[in-house]
Amino acid sequence: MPDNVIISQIARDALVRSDAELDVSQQARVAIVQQTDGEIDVSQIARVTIYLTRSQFIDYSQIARVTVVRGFSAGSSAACRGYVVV
Amino acid sequence: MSIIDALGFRAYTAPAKRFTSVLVTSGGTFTIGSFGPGSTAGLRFASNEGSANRDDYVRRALPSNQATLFLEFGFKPSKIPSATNEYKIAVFGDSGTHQVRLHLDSLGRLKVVRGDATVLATTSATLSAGVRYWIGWQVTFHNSAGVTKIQINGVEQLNSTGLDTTNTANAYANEYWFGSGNPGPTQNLDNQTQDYDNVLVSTDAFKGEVVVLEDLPTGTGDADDGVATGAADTRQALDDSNPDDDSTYTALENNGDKFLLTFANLPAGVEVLACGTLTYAKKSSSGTAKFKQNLKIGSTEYLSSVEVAPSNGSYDYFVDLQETSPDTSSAFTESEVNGMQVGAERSA
Repeated sequence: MPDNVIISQIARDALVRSDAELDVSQQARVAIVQQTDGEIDVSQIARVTIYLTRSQFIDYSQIARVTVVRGFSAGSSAACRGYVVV
Repeated sequence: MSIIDALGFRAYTAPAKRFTSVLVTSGGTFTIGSFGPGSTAGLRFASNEGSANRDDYVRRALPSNQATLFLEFGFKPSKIPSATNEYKIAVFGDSGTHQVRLHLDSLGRLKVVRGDATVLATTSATLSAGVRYWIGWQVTFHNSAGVTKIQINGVEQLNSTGLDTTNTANAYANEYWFGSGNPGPTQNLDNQTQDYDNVLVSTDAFKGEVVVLEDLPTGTGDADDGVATGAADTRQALDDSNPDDDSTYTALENNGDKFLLTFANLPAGVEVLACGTLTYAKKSSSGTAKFKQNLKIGSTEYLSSVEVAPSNGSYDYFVDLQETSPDTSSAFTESEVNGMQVGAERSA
């Protein structure tokens, strides 16, 4: 049998990441639902991780603005829902 | 070439294809599926509990002995080990023997262990169950001046020097392992999963979080000297979502024979850290049969300096990644990669 190079599969390997500024307006409401009454202790949130269509890690320290919105969810007088909006 | 291996879990569905060996005789399973962040590709190890399966693993051989290795990967544990337990996350090995292991302990800390039991260093930082992290682990192998460093999500959490990081007589490693199992014979595993994604192995530095794309060819480029079997042409023989070995393949029969293929565009807006080929190949007999990666950028073809010598009769994956474009000597650009043809040329 001849000495042939035999190739059964080939893929283009590309290691990529996005260093561009993230457009968080497209997806970036992170909802933290608290099932019981009371304020949400934001200090307990160590990190916010947002996955885009491509993997992307956002360090919490890099989030310039965090807005906390509290309100009662519709249809329930017992549940208090909080939202951290970045 | 400082990046010597990368696993995207996107061009194969069977772990046994991509890893040099897979051991699941003790009841654990390794599955490639949507286990990465945002349901992207990843590898899951699932334990079924019990002390008998402490050695289940996947093992990947590296192309050569390395005095320093940087292993980076996405990692999500489903549990933190119970009080008397530790999970083996990763291993650097020397031809089948553990040199240094990375454990997750019962406090959620990462622990570097020489051999099976000698603790070298432990992070103060902890991991939580159900959270995905980007882990970076460096080991420099030396019997007195060894080094180990750990990064979690890009932040250094451990830097320990002056260590004996050799469990064998050699100051190097030539393989890495993933899996679970216990550091000692008397402890039981939990019933847990460990998810891995986007694995990167380098020899010079931590590269930071990346996505490892493994895109299959979509069309024939400017050359096709390959003799296809089981398919109409080389492209159709090589675009398997999981390699089918001898069912469809192409043969490069003569020195200088080559093929070039086209690929879909990268996701828009990405930075390209490295680019190259992932080739699943063998040779058909015991004689000489070698090939090189061929990148065609513009009108120029660039053969890699790496010459691949595949095994006789046994397929394996070969990674050839370059961090700078051979056309510009600068980092690859997105448009450059999109317009590039990728293939192989027989060199000997």
